[in-house]
Order: sequence, then C-alpha cells, then structure tokens
Amino acid sequence: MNNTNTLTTDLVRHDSAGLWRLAWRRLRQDKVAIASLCVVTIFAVMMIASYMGLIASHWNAEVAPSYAPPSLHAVTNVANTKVVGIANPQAGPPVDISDIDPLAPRYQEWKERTANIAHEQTQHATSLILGADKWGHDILSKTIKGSEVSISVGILAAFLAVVVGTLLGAVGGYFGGVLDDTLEWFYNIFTSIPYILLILAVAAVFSRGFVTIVLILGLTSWTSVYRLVRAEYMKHSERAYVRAAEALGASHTSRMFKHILPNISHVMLVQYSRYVVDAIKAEVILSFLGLGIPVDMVSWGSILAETQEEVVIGKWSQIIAAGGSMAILVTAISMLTDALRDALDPKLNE
Amino acid sequence: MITRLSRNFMYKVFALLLISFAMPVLADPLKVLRVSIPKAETGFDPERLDDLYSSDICWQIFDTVLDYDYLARPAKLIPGIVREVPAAEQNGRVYTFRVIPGIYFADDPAFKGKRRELVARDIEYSLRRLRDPKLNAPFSWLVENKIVGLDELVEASKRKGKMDYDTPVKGMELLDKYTLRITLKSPDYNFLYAFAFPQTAPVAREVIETYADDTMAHPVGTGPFKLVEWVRKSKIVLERNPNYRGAVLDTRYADMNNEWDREVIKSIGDKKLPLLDRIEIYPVEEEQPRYLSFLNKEVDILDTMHQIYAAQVLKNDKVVPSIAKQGIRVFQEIQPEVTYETFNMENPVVGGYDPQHVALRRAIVMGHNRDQLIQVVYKNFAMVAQSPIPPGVIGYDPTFTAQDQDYNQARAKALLDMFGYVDRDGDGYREQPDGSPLIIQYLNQTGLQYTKYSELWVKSMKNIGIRLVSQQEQFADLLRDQQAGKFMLTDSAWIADYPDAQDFLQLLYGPNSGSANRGRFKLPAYDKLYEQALRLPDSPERNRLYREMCRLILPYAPWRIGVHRAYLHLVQPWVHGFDRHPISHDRYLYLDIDVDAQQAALKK
Repeated sequence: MNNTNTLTTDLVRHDSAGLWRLAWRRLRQDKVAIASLCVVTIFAVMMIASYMGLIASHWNAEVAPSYAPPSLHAVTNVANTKVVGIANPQAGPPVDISDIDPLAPRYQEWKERTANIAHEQTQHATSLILGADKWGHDILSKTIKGSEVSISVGILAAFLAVVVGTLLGAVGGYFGGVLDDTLEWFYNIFTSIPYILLILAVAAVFSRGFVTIVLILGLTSWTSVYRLVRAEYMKHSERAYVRAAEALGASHTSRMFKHILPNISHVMLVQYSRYVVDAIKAEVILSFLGLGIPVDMVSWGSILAETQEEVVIGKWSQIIAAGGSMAILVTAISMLTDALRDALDPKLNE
Repeated sequence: MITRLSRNFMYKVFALLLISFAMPVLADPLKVLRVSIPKAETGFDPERLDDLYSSDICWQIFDTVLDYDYLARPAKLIPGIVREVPAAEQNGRVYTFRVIPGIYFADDPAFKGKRRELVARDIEYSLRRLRDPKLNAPFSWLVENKIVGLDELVEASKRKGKMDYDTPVKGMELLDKYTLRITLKSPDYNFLYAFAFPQTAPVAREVIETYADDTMAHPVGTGPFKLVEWVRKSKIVLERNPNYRGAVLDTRYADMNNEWDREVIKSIGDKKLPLLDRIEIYPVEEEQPRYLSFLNKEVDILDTMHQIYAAQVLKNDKVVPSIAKQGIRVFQEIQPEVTYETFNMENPVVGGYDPQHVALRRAIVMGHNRDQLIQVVYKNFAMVAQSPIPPGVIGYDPTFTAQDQDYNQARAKALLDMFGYVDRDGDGYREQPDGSPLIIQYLNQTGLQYTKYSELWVKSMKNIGIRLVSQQEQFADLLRDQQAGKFMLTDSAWIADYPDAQDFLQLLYGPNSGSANRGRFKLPAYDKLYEQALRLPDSPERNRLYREMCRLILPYAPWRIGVHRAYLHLVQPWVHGFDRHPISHDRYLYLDIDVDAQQAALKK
C-alpha cells in the first residue's frame, strides 16, 4: 500500500511543467542570463527610486562650480569664478532712471525688502564622485535621474509598439482576406520609409515632451512584432485547440485573445525586450539631435548631447557616466533577451 | 624617307611630352583659399539675401555702390563703383552717385557675347528690384518709405500685379549714363550706409530676366570673384573674375600700432588685387568638426569660432602653446552685435507699461543669471551689454552703465513680493497677483547652444520662484512666430548692418513693431527721440539723443539686454592680409596665400 501511495505521489509531483516554468528553469541555469537580470534589476530599482524621489531628487541643484572635477570631498576654492567676461575699463556710474521710472515711488520699500532677503549661497555637495557638469550639477545624480526617462521611454515605447503590433498582427493573421491585405499594404508602405528618418520627421513636427517621445517611438516600431504575430496567428488559427474552442461556441475575440494569445506570448516577450533596447537607443538619438525631451528634464540622450562639446575641451565625466550606463544596460537587456529566446524556444524544452 | 619622317614625329612627341611634364613646374601654382563657414548659404541673388553668410559671399562677387575701407576702424565708408562718397545735399535729402566708367560685369551668356558695362541705371534697377512685391526682399526696408515716388510706384505695381521697372521715379533721376540722383522724402544722414549692403549691389537686368527662375544660382557681378561651382549647403567655389577692374590696398586709415594692419601692409603692399585664384567655401554647421578640420589643415581660415572652443585656443589672453607653435594666428574681436531677450509688450502676462507688469519684467531681468551666461556659455568671451548699442558703432557710449539690468536675485524676489507675485499654493512657484498661474513661455531655436540658454533661463527663474517653460523651434519657424508676436519672451541677437547706433535703436522704434521691433515696444517718448536723431548727422547732439533713448529703455525693460560676444577667427600661417572687418567681415579681395608653405604643411 505504502509503495503504491508513494508512486502516486511521485506521479503527481512530476506532472509536466508549463512553458514559463520550464523557461525559468532553463534561465536559472544560464549564469550570463542571471547576471544580466541582476544588472537590469539594479537599473530598474534605481529608476523606481529616482521616480519616487528617494535618490537624485536634487539632480538639477547647483552643488559645485562649473565642471568641478570628480572628488570624494566637497569642492571648494575653485579658481576665478568672479571674472565675468571682458571688462569695460571706461564704465561709468550707474545711470539714474528715478525721474522716468514707474517704480520710483516704491524705491524705499524695495530697498528694505531686498535687505531682508538673505543671499542664498550655493550649497556644495559633500562628494562628487563623477564631478559636475557646466552648471555645477552633480553628474552622478544627473545620470541616475537620466535613467528614469531613458528606461521609462524604453519600457513604455516598447510596450506600445508590442500592443499595436500584436493587435494588428492578430487581426490580420486571424481574419486574413481583405483585412489582412489592407494591413499588409499599410505595413509595406510604413516599412518603405527608413526608420530613423521616420522618427526624425515625426519628432520635428510634434512638440517636445516625454509622452511625445513614447508615442513617436511606440507608433513607429510596431512592424516587426506585427509580422511575427501575424504569422503565429495564421498558424495557430488552424490548430485543433482553436477549432475545439470554436466548436464550443467561443467568439472570435475569445479565440484570438483567450486561446491563441497565451500560446504566442513568448514571441511577444522576446520582441518586447528587444524593443526596449531599440527604444532606449532611439531616445538617445532623438535627444542627441535636440528633438527629445524638454530642457527641464534629463535623459542619457540629453546628457550625451551635451558631451559633443565637452569631449573636445577635455571634460569626459558625462560621456563616461551616461554612455557607460547606457552601454551596460543595453548590453544586459540584449543578453537577457537572447537567453529568454533560448529559454522559450519549444525545440529546446525538456 | 619614312624613317626620317618617323624620327621627326618621335622628336615632336618627345618634345610635347617634355613640355607637358614641365608645365606644372613652370606655371605659377594656383592660390587656393579654403574656408569653413558656420552656417549654410541660401543663395547669391543680392536683393533676395537675408542671411549673413550668403551676404558675405556676395560681397566677393558683387561690387557695392559704396564700400568700407579695409583697415579703417571704426568702419569708414569709401567709394565702391562710384567716383566719391556722395555728399549730403539739401540737409541730407539729396544724394548724387557718379559711377566710374569702364566697370564691366563678369561674362555671362545673358549678355550674348558682348561685354556689359555697369551704368547708373543698374543701380536704379537694383533699388527698384529691392521693392519688387513679388520678390518680398528681406532688406526692402533699406529703401522703404524713403525715396520720393518709389513707394507710390510699388503700390501701383501691387495693383497691377507686376513691378514697373520702366516708369521714371521722381526721386531716382538718371542725369546721364553714369549719374543717378536720389531724393529722399525726409533728411536721413544714415541713408548712404544702405549702399554698402550687398543687398543693394547693382545687378544686370538681362541676367535677372534670363535666370528669372533661379537667380540665386546665377550671380553675375562686377566684383573680384565669380561663382564657378555651387553644391548647395556643401561647397561653394569662386574663381577670379577676369573682367574685374582691379584694386589696390588703401593704407591711409591703417593703425600702425595694430599688428594685423602692419601684416596686411607688409604682405599686400601695393600689389594689384585680387591675389587669390580660387576660393573654396565649405559650410559646416557643427562646431566640433569645423574646429577639428581647421586643426587638421583642411581649411585655411576658421571664421567666427565658437566661444567654447575659443577657451581652448586663448588662455589668459595668450594663445596656447599647442596652437602658437603651429604658427596659427588668432584674431580676436568684440563683434558689433548685441544679444537680447525681448518680451512681447502686447502679451497680457508680461506686456504692458503699468507698474505691476513693469515690476514683473524687471524682476525677470534681474533674476536671469547673466553672469553665468558669460562664464559658462561664453567662457568669458563676452562683454556685459549695458544698452542695445555695441562697441564699434557710432553712438556707442562706454560710460553708460545700466545697473537695473544686473543680475540680482534678492532685488528680483523683493520686487515680485511687492507687487503680489507670491506663491499661494505652496508648490514653490509664484502665482500672478489675481491668483492665476504665472508661467513664462520662453521661445528660442533648436540646437545645442540654444538649449544652454533655455537651461539657464529655466534654472534662473526657478531660483526666484517663477515657472518658465522653454519651447524650441527651427529657425524659420522661430522668425515667423516672432514676427507674428506669438511669444512671451524670446531670444534674439542683432549684428551691425552699418556702423551707427541707429541700426540697433530701430529695434525698439514703435513703427517698426512686428518687423525689426519684434517685442512691439511702443513708447512715444522713445519714438520722438528716434525721429529727432534721424534728422541729425553724427554729432554730440545726436549722441545725447541716443543716450537718452538707452536710458528710457531701462525702467520699462522691454529687453533683457544680454552681451556683446567676442569671437576668435583662426588663420593658418600661410594666409596673409587677414584683418576681419566689423561690418563687411571677410574680404577675400585682400588675402594672399603662400602656396609653398600651404603645400608643405599639407604634406606633413
């Protein structure tokens, strides 16, 4: 009896694992994938902490003199900040405008109020590991804050692209016929325009902003996921489990999104992670060309745009910080994407 | 017989070969100047010109009626294609131009194989053309509302739908083939400066009519060079105009204490000009490649170097050793220009002349950290501007000091508090006195440099509790919106068209609202002084009026007066005769190249 019971229990325990569980199992065995996942997680945590204001909230505060070098201590006594341009040796006394000034009746009050306003001294940072930019902003804080926009744009634009591509691909692949032909025609026209040119043209027309960038990148990047999803839907719509659902009275929407979609979700995930990388890079290009975010925000792209001039004058901190961060994150996501694709490949499943 | 013939033939072939190999050695090598300019050109039709760099190129192709002496400082008018600078007759109302006979246009198919002499009618034609309604010439203001009968002709032409180039104009009398008399509606002692603009350079009517569809690509002038190749926005090639009458350097106004003047006189002397055979001009809009191409000896002159790189070349007023050891010469100048931000005086938030709005503008002006602009953006290669008038123009007063434009955060905050611009909802930003949000929109153009201006404005205003939103547009869109008054606060700069303060003070003249006066500042007292000054020649009395006009601007603060920028121009050691002119800028007519030194440097 006991033996029989044990056998039954073992059989239950070895019930076939699902696609995702198997994928996770394979992923865990891949050391590079885990390292990449850790890097991505660190960046994600950093971005969320920045978004919540836990870190880098004062990224645009003037905490040091212009281009203060990297230092572990507060930067003080930076040379010659009192020189303001070319002097005019013939300058005379200030011109008196009291006889023509509409504010003249309140000069005394103005003077008293001014005296009561304390002059605000620049608060120097306790340390500047990466130094300061031209405005005296801490480059480390700025890079962290920049990750918020760059990664957010990557995540949201990729999400939008995958949603649009999946919807169109699902409709075209599932229904076929004229609808599919129309979508194909639209796809062909869309892809005939070079991707970067398309982005730049759209960006030049719309006003600058975070939402604009997400929309531009999301709505111009859906094409490859559309093709893949369309092909998957054409394949799956003829399969037995979809026919069975149809026989049981499932609607088109139900068959498309309840039955087929979960079975092609691995394709979407791989595409999504690939798109995140592309969107991060595209945001950098847009901001580098001055078509990105507004000036009161910061992203890795806008930081890299600033470095165009700085590298020539020997200021390397920003390009190392923003360029390095982007390179690390993009590499990590790319490697994770490769690992995910391998892990989700049915041919490699146990 | 056959053998002898063959031998003769062989000798001849051998001799020809020998000559062809020897030719490059025997002939003088071409003197080729390579220049990089920071903005792309638009074309070379003088009357249609709008931008600085195309104008500078036209200055090489066309002769202007009047010119500027190459060495005189401050800039001095000299005759161009006329015998003398016309005297002001009838208290500055009448000017008579006497064209020098024997000046010929460069050969062109439009002349059907004949040499075409420049005559007084060509000047008259060009002035009419500047007012052609179809042309919509950007510099039509030079002769607008000035010449007797011309405005009436333009109105009649508008009604007909075609410019009348033949009906005589009362104010433009052709006394003979070479003499043109111009009569003005009212005295104007600065009128002659209009004739030193490339925009009024005489063009031949046949050329304009032959190339009516593409006059920008077919410049035919009487100047020292002619256009031989134009790859739009990429390469412009000029070559010596064989029909040019020639010129000689005038050294009368040279300053022998100035090393640049001394070098010009030493290297050019009394040689017949021009000395260059060919000029290759490359528009490169990005500063970094422009600078690097000069260091790489790909260009001979780096014109108008940006300040951020200037700091790499000049430290503590001395050329850095790495540049000095290459023999590169560095020409430094404070350009006769002013940068400024203008408020839209018709905007309900920032405009108006009542104390409340005056206070807001004054606070914004004092809150803007101009010191940091100079230190960080211009790397101290700029001078604080005290008024709209820059150094180097007649009427500039170096003793004029405008304290009310100085950066002073505490005074700005106090003023805002006094007039009820306080933070009512605790978000760190002030509201308007009626409680509505106070948001200042700052409009400027796209580009890295302009982004810095925006960043500084956002930062400066945040420091005094004002929310400022920056909007950046392409340059053409920016101009359109500025002229249409679609802005609150916008960035601008003005460089001298002619060396008189009037060119700058007209930017705030009420009747110029919507054109040069983009902020639509209208102060009757200012306008009255401006009109008085127009009727006066250069004199202490006119300078007093100029100073008073500058004083009137200060309390109403229609502008955040910016800076007068200093620029460096880098010249390779084999280029001689360089002396940057404050108004007519680069004059290749006076330059020479030491070809051997140039070639030797290129081989290194």
